[in-house]
Amino acid sequence: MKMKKWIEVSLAIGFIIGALYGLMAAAYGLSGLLEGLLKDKFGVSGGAGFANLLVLMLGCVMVIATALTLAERKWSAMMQDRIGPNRATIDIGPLKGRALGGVPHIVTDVLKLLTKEDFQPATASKFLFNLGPILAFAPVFALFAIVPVGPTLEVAGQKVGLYVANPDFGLLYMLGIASLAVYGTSLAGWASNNKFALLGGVRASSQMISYEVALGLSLVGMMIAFGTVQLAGPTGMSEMQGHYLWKATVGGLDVGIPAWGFLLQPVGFILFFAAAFAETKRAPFDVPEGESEIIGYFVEYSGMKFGLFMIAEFVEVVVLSGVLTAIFFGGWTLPFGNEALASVGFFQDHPWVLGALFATIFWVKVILLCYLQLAIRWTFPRFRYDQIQTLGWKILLPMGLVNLFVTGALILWDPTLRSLAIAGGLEIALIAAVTLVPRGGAKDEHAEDHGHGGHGAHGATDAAAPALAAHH
Amino acid sequence: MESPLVPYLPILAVLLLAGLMAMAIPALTTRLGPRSVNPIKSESFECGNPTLGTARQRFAVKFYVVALLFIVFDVEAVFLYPWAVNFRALGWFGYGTMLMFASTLVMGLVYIWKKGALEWES
Repeated sequence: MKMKKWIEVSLAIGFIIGALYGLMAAAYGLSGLLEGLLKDKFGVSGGAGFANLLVLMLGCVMVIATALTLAERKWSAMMQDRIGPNRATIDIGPLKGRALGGVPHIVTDVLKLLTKEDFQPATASKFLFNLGPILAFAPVFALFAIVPVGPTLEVAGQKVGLYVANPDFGLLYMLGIASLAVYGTSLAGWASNNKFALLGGVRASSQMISYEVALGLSLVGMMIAFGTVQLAGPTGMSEMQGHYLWKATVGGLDVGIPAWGFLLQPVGFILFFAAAFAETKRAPFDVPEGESEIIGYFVEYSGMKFGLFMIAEFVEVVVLSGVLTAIFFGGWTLPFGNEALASVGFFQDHPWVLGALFATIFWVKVILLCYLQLAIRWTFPRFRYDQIQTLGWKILLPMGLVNLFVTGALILWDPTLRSLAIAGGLEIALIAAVTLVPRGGAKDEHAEDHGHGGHGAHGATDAAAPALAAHH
Repeated sequence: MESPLVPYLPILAVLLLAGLMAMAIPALTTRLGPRSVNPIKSESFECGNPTLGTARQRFAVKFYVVALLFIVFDVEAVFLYPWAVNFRALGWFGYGTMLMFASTLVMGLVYIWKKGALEWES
């Protein structure tokens, strides 16, 4: 039984990775064709961008986001020792009566939301009420346009990269579009003409703008380190992280320490992650919703209008993972062996084979980060609203400023970024030590001796509390 | 000669597609879903109790304070970006200048902190 389960799981993972690889190879092919076609017919470039719009954004981001609606239910069930969704089945031939890991639930959920009554309260402001979900979803979806998924290669005689657009103001586009999402939630809250929705709406907007300050500051360190706000391309932040700080060659395989963002900027990474997590409004930052108290800014929405808020949340999880991967986890590069792979003769003759491989690595990183976000969402208890504001203004903002000027001094002192990486390594060690070494050990052991609560919940409260407690 | 705006065409397409999708998906519900309106259902939802008054009321001033602070510190972040991109060219001189600029804002932060503008429960 156990063995069978393992085989099934590894088959499923293999299938997902294989499908991603196929999609990425198709993305390169389609990009090359469309780029060439547009150049021949109209004499304009940018065809690759349109192809990537279809494959990367509709084909990957939307599909992963949809799959996450199921994954969240299934993974939370796993964490809470439940079975999770298993009721919807496809009654055809051998599939009859099998739960298939809950996959049919994706379809039934969508059908259910689509066939619900489209309800509007009589006192709501009609136009703004309808505009709310649109403004909540559209900016979040458009964010992914600047994220580079794979290397720039020559396909069918055209130079194509796996990104929709590569403007030189890349990160500024990201910050600008991301801040539009706040209008959706605050409009939805206000236009519903419902007290709970209003409270949820003002809570959401207040929380989102508080964390936007930290969000903006946290990335300045990375901009300083690489001297650019561009993400894709050979001088972009994503690709520059593939360069080694220290390098050695062992038997033809290049190993070393790459300039990945989380190593150069561990504090910046934590700031960005915490701030962006608060922007997604998911637990532990879910006071705008707080389904057990005020239901939130979408209390009056039903059917797919509510579904749009929900899917926007999941799209945000995927896009945030993509942005994190591109800025802090080396984009599509491997931590070692990139040059060895690129020098293989077969890959030089067929560059798209390697390109699709790198792009698959990118998506694997994205899915792992999605899992991390869901794990945080299901293990941390909800913060109180004053704790959220305290964390944003009294901890993240000063931390961001200090981090920024320490980073600046280290780079001016040593432009090779090596001392920055050493400082980053020390910071990671310090953070790990603070997190792993139990504080007030005697009290902790006492609590555990008497078996107070689950261990997971206990540890989570511990990890969240100290920083906040320090200021009370 | 290509217009210099051509590289931004895909971004325009993305924004259009995002807007279209966001409009099309709820429009589907409006078409597919049933419709039955009655006056009690059309009241705004207050946990099953009869609705008391409108929601167009004043809300806590704290939310406005946060919005004001946000503008100050977000504009600061905007000033940091051009400096960050030209960081190496500006060197220690730029670093010192920015340190002075940031320290005036930090003084502001310390002031509002001491004034209690950041205390949510008070």
